[in-house]
Amino acid sequence: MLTGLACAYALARVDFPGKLLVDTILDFPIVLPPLVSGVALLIFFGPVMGNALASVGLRVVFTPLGVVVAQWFMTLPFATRLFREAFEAVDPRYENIARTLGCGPFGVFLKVTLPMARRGIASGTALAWARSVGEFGATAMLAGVTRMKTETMAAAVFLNMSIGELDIAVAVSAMLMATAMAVLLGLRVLWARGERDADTEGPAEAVP
Amino acid sequence: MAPPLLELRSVGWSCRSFALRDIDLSLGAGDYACLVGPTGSGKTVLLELIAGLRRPGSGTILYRGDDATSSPPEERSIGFSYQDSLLFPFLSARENILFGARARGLGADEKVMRRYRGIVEALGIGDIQDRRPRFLSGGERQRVSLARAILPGSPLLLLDEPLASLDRPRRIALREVLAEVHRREGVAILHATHDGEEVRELATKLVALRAGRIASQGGTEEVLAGSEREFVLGLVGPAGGGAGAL
Repeated sequence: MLTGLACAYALARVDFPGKLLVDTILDFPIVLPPLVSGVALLIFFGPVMGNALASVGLRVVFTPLGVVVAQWFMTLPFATRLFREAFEAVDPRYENIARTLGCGPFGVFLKVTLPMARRGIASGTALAWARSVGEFGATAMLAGVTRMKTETMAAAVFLNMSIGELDIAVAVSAMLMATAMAVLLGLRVLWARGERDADTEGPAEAVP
Repeated sequence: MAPPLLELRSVGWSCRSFALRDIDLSLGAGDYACLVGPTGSGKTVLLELIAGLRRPGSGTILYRGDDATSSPPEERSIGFSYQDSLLFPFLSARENILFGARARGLGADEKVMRRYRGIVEALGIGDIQDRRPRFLSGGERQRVSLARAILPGSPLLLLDEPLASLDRPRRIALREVLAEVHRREGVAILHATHDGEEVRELATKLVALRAGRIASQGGTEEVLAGSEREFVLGLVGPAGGGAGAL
C-alpha cells in the first residue's frame, strides 16, 4: 500500500522525465497473463537475484515470502491506478493554500492531500486487497502451491479440487465470495457517503 | 529610502502557448493594489509566482529586500486566498483559520489565540467557528478563508478575485471587511479583480495585465489618465457608469 501511495502521488503530482514509460511499466502486470508474470518473477528471484538475496537471508521462491511478493507485484499497478485517481481528484489549489500557510511538501501530503483523498484511498485499498486475496497464477508460479506452507485461499480451492475434496473447495470458494461481496457492499456505502458529502462541499457559490 | 516590500524584475514564466513576459512590479508596505486584466491574461499565474507556488523561468523576485526567487512558499510568509474559498472540508472553520499556526506548532500559543479571537470578532464569524465548511454560506466561507490568510500576520496578502463568486450585498459587505483588514493590519494587498467598484473603493495602485505583459501600472488615477486609459476602462467600466463601474 505504501509503495502504491508513493507511486500514485508521484504520477499524479510530479512531472519527471520518463513518466510515460514508468506509467506504462506499472500497468504491465495488469495486461500480462498472471502465469507469465509469475514466470518472470520466478526467473528474477531465482536464477537472477536468488543467490544475492539468499546471502542476506531472503528466500522468495517457494516460500510464504514469495506469496507476499507475488501478491504485491500483481496488486501494485491496480492500487496505484486507484490511488492516483484519488490524488488527481484533489484540487491542487488546496495544497497551494497549505504551502502558503507554512506547510512543507510532506506536511501538505499528510495534512491535506491524504485526508482529502481518504475515501478514494480506502476504496483502492479494499479493492486491491480483495484482488490480492483471489490472486492465483503468479503466486502459484513463484511461491508454489504447498499445503500449509504457501496455501492461499485461492490455492486451497485449487488443491482441494485437484484431490477431489469438493466440500472443502466449495466452502473456501464460498468464503472468497462472501469476502468479495462484503468488500463491494462496504465500498457502495463508502461511495454513497462520499457523494452525499461532495454535494455539500462544492465551491463558495453552492450555498448562497 | 526603504526598499519596496515586493519587487519583480523582468519576471518571465511560460507554459505551452501562454507566457508572462518582462513583469516589472513594485509594491510598498501598506499599498492596496488591484490587478486587472482580461480572463486568461495571467493574473492568477502572476499571484502564484509571487507566492512561490510557481517558479519563474527568468527574472528576480525581491521580497522584504531579499532575493526570494527560489524560496518555497512556506518560507515566504505571503498570505493567499483564491476565488473559491477552498476551505479544507474535513476541518471546522476554527481549524481552518488556525491551520497555519498549527503547521508551525503554534496552535496553542496564547498570542496566536488572542490574535485569532481578534480576527474572528473583526470578521464577524464568531458564531460559526465550529461549523464545517459545508454548513457555511458563500460569504461566511470567504470570511473564514480571509481570516485563514491573515492570521499568520504576513506583510503581504494576495487575493485572487475573492469576491467574484458572491452576490452583490455580500460582495459589498466583504469589500468593507477587506478595507478594514487593510487599515487594521497594515498589510500590503495585491487583489486581482474584474470589478470596477472594488478598484474604486479599495485600490491605491492599479496594475493592468494584457496577454501576459503589464500594459500599465501606477496610482489608480494616473493609470486611468494614462495611455492605456481605454484598455483599463474597458476592463473596469467607465467612471460614473453605474453598478460595477469605476
